[in-house]
Amino acid sequence: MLSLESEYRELYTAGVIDDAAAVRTIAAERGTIFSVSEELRVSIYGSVAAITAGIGIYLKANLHRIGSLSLIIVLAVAAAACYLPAIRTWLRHATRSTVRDYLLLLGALIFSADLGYAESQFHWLGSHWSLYLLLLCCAHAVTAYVLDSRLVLSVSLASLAAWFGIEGNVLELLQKGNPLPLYGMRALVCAGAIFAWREVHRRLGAVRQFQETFEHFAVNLGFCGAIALGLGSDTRLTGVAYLVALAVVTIRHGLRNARELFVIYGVAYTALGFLCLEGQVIKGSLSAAVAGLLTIIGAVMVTWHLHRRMKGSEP
Amino acid sequence: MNPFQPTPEEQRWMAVGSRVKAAAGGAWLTERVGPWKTVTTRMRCILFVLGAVAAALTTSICSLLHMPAYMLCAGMMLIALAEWLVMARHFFNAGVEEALELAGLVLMVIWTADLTGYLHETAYALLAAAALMLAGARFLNPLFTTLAVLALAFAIESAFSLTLAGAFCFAAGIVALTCGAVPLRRPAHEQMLNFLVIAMPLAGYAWGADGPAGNAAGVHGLPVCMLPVYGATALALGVQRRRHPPIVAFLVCVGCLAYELRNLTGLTLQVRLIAWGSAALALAAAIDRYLRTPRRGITSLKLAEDDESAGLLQLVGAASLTPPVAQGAGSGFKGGGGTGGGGGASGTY
Repeated sequence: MLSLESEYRELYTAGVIDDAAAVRTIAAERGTIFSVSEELRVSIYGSVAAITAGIGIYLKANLHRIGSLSLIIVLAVAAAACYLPAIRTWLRHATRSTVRDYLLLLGALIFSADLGYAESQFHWLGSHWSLYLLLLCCAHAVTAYVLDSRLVLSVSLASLAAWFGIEGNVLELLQKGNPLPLYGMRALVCAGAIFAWREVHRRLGAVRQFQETFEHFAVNLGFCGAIALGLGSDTRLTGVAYLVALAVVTIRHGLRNARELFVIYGVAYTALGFLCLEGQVIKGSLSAAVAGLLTIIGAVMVTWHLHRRMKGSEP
Repeated sequence: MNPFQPTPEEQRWMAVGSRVKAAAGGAWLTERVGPWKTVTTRMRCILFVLGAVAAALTTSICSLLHMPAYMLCAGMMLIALAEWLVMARHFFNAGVEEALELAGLVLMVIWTADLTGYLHETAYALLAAAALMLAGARFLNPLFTTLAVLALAFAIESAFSLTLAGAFCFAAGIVALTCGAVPLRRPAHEQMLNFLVIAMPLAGYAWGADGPAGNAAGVHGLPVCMLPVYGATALALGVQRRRHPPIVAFLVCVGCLAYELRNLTGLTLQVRLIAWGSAALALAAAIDRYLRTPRRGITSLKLAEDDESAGLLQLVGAASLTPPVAQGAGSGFKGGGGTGGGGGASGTY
């Protein structure tokens, strides 16, 4: 067993850490206080994933056996039951526990499945059926804002992305015949919409964590869109321009706010984009491999340099 | 100072530095860490991937240039570069040098196998295990040492049987659990044990469940015997020692056991998922509630704020659970290609 207690004591004696930090770290080293919150969170996430998958399979298998209306009502009741503990906590102005957080997420997921099922059965929106995704996005956004839930906000953003025609199945996307530039444009537009939402959110001075959620979604979608655009022969230059511009903005944002993940996004996506591009553009395997190697060496050097810069600028 | 790798003291200070984020004592900590340059876990992962891609491209360049014994040449170049990064530039656990050295060693193993003409897969696995162990010891990398043990289990499988390989994995896990009680100086050694504690029951199950089933329900003897024993021991030791990895190993054992016994009840998949998921959720909720007041120092409350990676993982997890898009049947849209109007969503239930 490893104990770093002596090092923490030395840090405390030298005045590097304060009383509170010393007490906390030494207690953790000795095991006098031990949190199992992460293990519980993983278990709860696993349970929620199992229930959601079970409901999905159940819906698929029993579409014709169960009356549509009764199934929709049962799912709505189940979703409402999951929302209830979070609403009660909100009414009491108390802090929500991890379990209630994930119950709320389960409720949102059941609600999504329910609305999707209802639309597929009754065609309320007719030829504009995809609008139900936008409705879902709005409903989840309202829930997320009222109940202050990042998890539900991410479901809302996933619904928004789905409305724009972006789903997570990369393998399906890469199948021959799929219009990559179209996907790229949609991803970029979606990233722009999320960024605009983030700006409104920021100007209203709302919850800080939500802002980070918007940024992660917007940046990842933006980079995927730029790379997809770069893979189309007609849109290659536009894709590269977007890729470079996004990389500069993301890395600057990461450096300015000491957020390493954004620096990593900037370097990794750009390196990936250039590797794909070199594979397409450069004729001859040897030249492409040399260009790829130079790109990777450049990416390693830039990453290392940015890491040192971030370390140097730490408070 | 040891130019080969950090001393235990230097490594301990590096571990402390990464936990307190060197907030106030940057210079003070740098003095104790010595000349070694390290990065955060996230950076280490990305640099490892970049290093691995660089190694693959170097090998292809050597091959395309028709170098004689190109694997040996590429392997030696990569190892030399990795050693230069460590000895001259003092990189440690930076990811890139680890990827280069590992790739170099793997290339040399493949070259040796090619040189001998035909190498039995047992010998191949033993060579790979030796290379991985060497890289693990050189860079104090827990992933490499775990892979070395897995390669050893593969050698046992090819020489003897699947069940014996599974038993070996469980035995390795139990040894790692036992060694966890020994006072250790190097943080890397504890990480090596932690990796084994978590990975070995999973590997043991994978090998054990690959063998012939003991009955009509497809239940295998070794996993059903070993998983509860291993899981219970790990949970007891984790709680006693106040360490997370054995508790994670317990969760792994529960998951594997649930999967192994899936056919015993005769229920359909959806009913099992909903029923067991609800039961697990209820149990987790009860534990969470019970431990909200710390019991013998154990609590379900968070002691520190989530870092950005943990937060991102949660968001990705939540977004990935979002149900697939339901397209209105007969709505006139083409599914699968996203060619519909509106947002262009596509797909079917």
